Amino acid sequence: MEPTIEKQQDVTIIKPEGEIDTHNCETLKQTIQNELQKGTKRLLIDMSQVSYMDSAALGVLVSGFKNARASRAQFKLANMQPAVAKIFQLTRLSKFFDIHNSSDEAIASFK
Amino acid sequence: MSDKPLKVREVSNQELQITLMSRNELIRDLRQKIKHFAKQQGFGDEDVFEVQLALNEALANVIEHAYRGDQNGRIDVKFHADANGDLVIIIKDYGQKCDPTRLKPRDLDELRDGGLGLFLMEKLMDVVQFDFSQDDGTVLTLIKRKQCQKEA
Repeated sequence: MEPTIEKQQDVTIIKPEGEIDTHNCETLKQTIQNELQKGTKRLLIDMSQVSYMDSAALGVLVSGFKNARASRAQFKLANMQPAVAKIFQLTRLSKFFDIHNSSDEAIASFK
Repeated sequence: MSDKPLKVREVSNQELQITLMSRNELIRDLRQKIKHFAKQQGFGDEDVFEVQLALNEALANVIEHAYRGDQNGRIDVKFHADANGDLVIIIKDYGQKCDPTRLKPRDLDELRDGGLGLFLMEKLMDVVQFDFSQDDGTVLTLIKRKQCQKEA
């Protein structure tokens, strides 16, 4: 399923849904890449509707984060469900990402 | 294998045999099947999630590395609850063997998109064992112990 995209102030919010794995993660990758190419400098991935992800989906977020950094854009994550948060902890990727408990908190934190 | 991309044989309440083609879209079905099987064996939600993810990573590795994207490779998967109640998953492929010396989880201090499958399997399961001695392909055994759950 295509992630929904909305704008709040000058923040682009991408909201993927359901189970993201090696089979369908390319859609999220393309969506992130398209928004960066459009020139967004503040990108928030709202993870509230993501119930499951595997390491391939994790890789998509890592490459999104790196591409954002290369474009001098800010990249944040918010609203992770416990199962998804656990993968970030296990892989110690939490330390690289800017992760927030809510979208409001994440939006307020953009510089 | 036949035209059917996924075949399931329920041997007993304690054993399920599945044959699937090496296609990423089938991994989701396998996640559902192991979820149902593990719950049936009395594993809790957290363990069920861990087993699902480990199986997911194992199958994705087989499809990517053993079959290199060939969608018609055969993968035999067995879910089995042993006498101790431990959950045993055996994954047999008939594809290219990988070099065992290259099988090591990567450094987590670097930020890169990939190479986390084996690390996650080892983190999530009590046993992760590769058998490269087969004439063709590889057998991977994953075990989740029941007693670890009881101790938790």
